[in-house]
Amino acid sequence: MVVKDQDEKDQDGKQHRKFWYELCLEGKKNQATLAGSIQSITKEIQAYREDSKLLPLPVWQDAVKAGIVSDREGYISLLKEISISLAISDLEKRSNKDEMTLIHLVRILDETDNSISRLSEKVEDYYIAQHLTELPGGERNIRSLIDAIARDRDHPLNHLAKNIHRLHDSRTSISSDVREYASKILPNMSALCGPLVSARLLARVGSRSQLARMPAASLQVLGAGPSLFTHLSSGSDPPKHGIIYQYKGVRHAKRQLRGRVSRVLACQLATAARIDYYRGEPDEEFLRKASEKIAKAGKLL
Amino acid sequence: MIWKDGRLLSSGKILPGDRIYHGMRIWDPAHSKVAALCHIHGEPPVKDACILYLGAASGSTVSFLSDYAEIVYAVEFSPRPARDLIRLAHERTNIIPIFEDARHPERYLPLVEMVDVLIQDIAQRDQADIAIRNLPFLKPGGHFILFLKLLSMGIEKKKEELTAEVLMQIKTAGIVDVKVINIDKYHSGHVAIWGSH
Repeated sequence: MVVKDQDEKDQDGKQHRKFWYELCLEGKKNQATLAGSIQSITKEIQAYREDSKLLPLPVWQDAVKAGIVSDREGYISLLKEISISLAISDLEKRSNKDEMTLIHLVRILDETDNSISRLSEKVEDYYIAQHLTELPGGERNIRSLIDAIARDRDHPLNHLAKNIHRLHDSRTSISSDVREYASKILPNMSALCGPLVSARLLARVGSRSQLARMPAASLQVLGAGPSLFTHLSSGSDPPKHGIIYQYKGVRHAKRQLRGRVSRVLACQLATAARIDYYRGEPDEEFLRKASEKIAKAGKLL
Repeated sequence: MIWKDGRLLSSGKILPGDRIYHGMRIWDPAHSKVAALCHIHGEPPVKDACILYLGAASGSTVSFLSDYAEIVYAVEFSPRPARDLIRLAHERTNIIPIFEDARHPERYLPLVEMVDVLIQDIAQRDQADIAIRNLPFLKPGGHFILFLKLLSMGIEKKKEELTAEVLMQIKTAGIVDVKVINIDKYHSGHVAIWGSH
């Protein structure tokens, strides 16, 4: 009985196999112009393609015979329209907008940090050159120095100091955007190591699909490239942590426990990355167990 | 093909960024492996031909081929260059952009007809396999041109060994009259393999 069922399906499938331009024939009937129906034809072609119901190696003369196009030139121009529409639609499907937005936001965030600290340093250098006799140290750190200059309207760097303030404001808003996106597209990872660290891991790897395929050990030392290669080439101690060091659970762990905490965290993150990519929903049960394991790793036995 | 004073030219619509000689586009051998092949060895029969080009990237070589050929099917799987390729296809009447992985020809098999020339420029470890998988598109007697980036095939083996392995593979797949052309002069670490089906 089962075999017969399948046979029927096969026959059914064969009956429905078509050349791509035969789908256009139907499109032409429904709509006044072929050009107007390109998008609906594209969708149909995509559906047929997924079910392997399109016949291979089209013959353009058949399309002319069927009255879909009038000549070779018409065939090529119709095929071009359709292939462009297909490519654009596939491109849209494959590019994950939120994911790319997050990756670029992280890069912008890091670049903003860089700009702020570089500019601030130069301002400090300027100040020191102006106040050579002032004793070093004192109560002035860079941040309060910039604040003071931003208040002092007559200071030559007043305008720049105000801009550095604005950059700080931008940084705050970008950072909250990053948190928001990361909590949305990496819910489980964000719950374990915070949205910022999760976003940085993603930005380093380049895509959620690659992140999901990454072994925990690679996640653990992601961002610790130089020391990893020193370890591989000259046998020094392997790095214990890369980007995940920025997570406070690792950073604030007792020195002798940091290796263990980051290893356990990386293991749980690898699982979380897979849940995030393949399911996309927070998994309370998993998160509870994972947090327990991470917390336990941070305690002296 | 159009030659003037040792330069390879093409007569298509001029695109932004093109260098021009006597009012025609210069097809630079340093930027295009097909042009390098023309300079070093000889011209493939692309005039009025139907071409399948695998690894089209942003389509600079494809744009020159389209100046000569009847139609070029250009396959590219990387999103960034594919965008440029689509933009180029808008400019030309005879470029069919295909946004698919050349490892899975069954995905675009329904759109592409039998072609006279198959050209592949994909720097991947399995580049010979990819070419062989696409052979069903090539007419009997059609030309097969494969640009091999030897470095992409690993660093454990010698160049000669790798080339010999690929030659074995494509001969078994039914390619005859195979020539190996070194295009190191313009594209270091590359060889062209030219045969017919």
